Amino acid sequence: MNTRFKSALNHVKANEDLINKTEEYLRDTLAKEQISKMTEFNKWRMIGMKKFAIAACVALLLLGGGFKAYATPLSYVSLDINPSVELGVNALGLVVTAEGYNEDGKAVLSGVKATGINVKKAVHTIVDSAAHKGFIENDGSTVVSLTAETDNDRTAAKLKTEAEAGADEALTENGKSAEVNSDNVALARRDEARKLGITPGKLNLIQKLQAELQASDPTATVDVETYSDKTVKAIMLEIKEARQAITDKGAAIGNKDNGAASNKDNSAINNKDDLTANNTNKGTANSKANTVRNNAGGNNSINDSNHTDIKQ
Amino acid sequence: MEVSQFENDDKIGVALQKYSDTVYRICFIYLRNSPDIDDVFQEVFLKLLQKNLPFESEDHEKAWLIRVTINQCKDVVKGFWWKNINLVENVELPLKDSAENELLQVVLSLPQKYKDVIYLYYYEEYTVPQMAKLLKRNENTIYSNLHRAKGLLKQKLEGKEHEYSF
Repeated sequence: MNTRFKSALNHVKANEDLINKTEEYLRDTLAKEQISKMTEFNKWRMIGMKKFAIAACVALLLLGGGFKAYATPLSYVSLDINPSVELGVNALGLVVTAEGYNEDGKAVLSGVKATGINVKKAVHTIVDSAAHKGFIENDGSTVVSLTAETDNDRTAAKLKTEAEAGADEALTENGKSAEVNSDNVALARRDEARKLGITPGKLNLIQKLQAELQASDPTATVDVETYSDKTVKAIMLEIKEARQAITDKGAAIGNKDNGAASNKDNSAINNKDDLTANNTNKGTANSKANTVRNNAGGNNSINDSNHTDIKQ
Repeated sequence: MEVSQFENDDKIGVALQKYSDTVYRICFIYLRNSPDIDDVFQEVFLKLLQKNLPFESEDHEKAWLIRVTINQCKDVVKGFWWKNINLVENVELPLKDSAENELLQVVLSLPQKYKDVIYLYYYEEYTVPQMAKLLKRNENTIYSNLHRAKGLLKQKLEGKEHEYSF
């Protein structure tokens, strides 16, 4: 059986034709496979490269977004002596833009770097530069007006404190004295001021002046343009004069209910050289001013938390 | 991963030279009719070269090939075409000797499981444990299959069994 079966099966052989056909088929298929393997390898490499490219794009976007977030000012601080300068402050409390609103402002900013540092340092730098360039008089009569422009009360307070500290330091270092006046306004006011080409700080002062003037004479109007080039000192003086006029008037009318406060107020205003915080005043003058503001209409965003100090 | 074209060609030649007859015989025992044999034949060699398995020895490689060929043939036999449409016509056997012809015809007419063991036992001279391992069956199953296969052969050869030593 063994040998018979073997010899029988030995006759069964793969014919040459089949072998050749198979050889050809195998060669073709394997070659194709190798190519497809290669392309697959390349495909994966391509996918890898694509992934890398996408990752790079995302990273760039994130970086760009981060930079955008860094470079976008959320609040502003405007500094007016007469050089009017506005600083843009980003979310991190760093100054990212510094813009001169008038020729003097540009002059103050030239040659100094006020960006990339915190508000205190930036204000310090600018006041320092202003002092060097002769914008601050030696007699202490110059008024430095700092206005925080933001919708957030907490930020406003912080910006004001920092800016004041910076201005004070710079003044002390230069042996100068000036009246540092800080205030804050809503961001909406900024757009209004921009249209007029003045800083919101100055606009604020002009509007205050208008309010004061209207308190004594409801028909009085203030032409913003005439004041836009005036120094803060000059505007402040006019405000004080107007206020005094009202106070005088108020004193003449007499105030039965709140005489003491009124007197205190009067004395404070009368004493120009030693004007102390009057943000707590409840006198006639202030209430009248408020009334007038309301009458004037649209001026409600004037912040009433302003206070005025005189730095010696 | 990188296999040169030359290396590939070399492998194809060697594999075909070594195993074409073995593979063809198994295909023949299972399928008999030629178009399917060609397909299986090519598939088996393609698998061998595609997988490029690290065989321990030539015997190992051969056993692997036998296993794969049997599986491949079984797949064909299991298929719809084979079961329903294919009319098994006996291929003309390339044998001059009538006794050998008869023996082969008888073996081919056996059920599949018996053909396996007859081929492996008589032709490839595998032992029962080896067959059990290769076919993934219990040794005793192989023993009984072999026994029954022999019985069937004897019966089919109708008394001519004396011509063969089982």
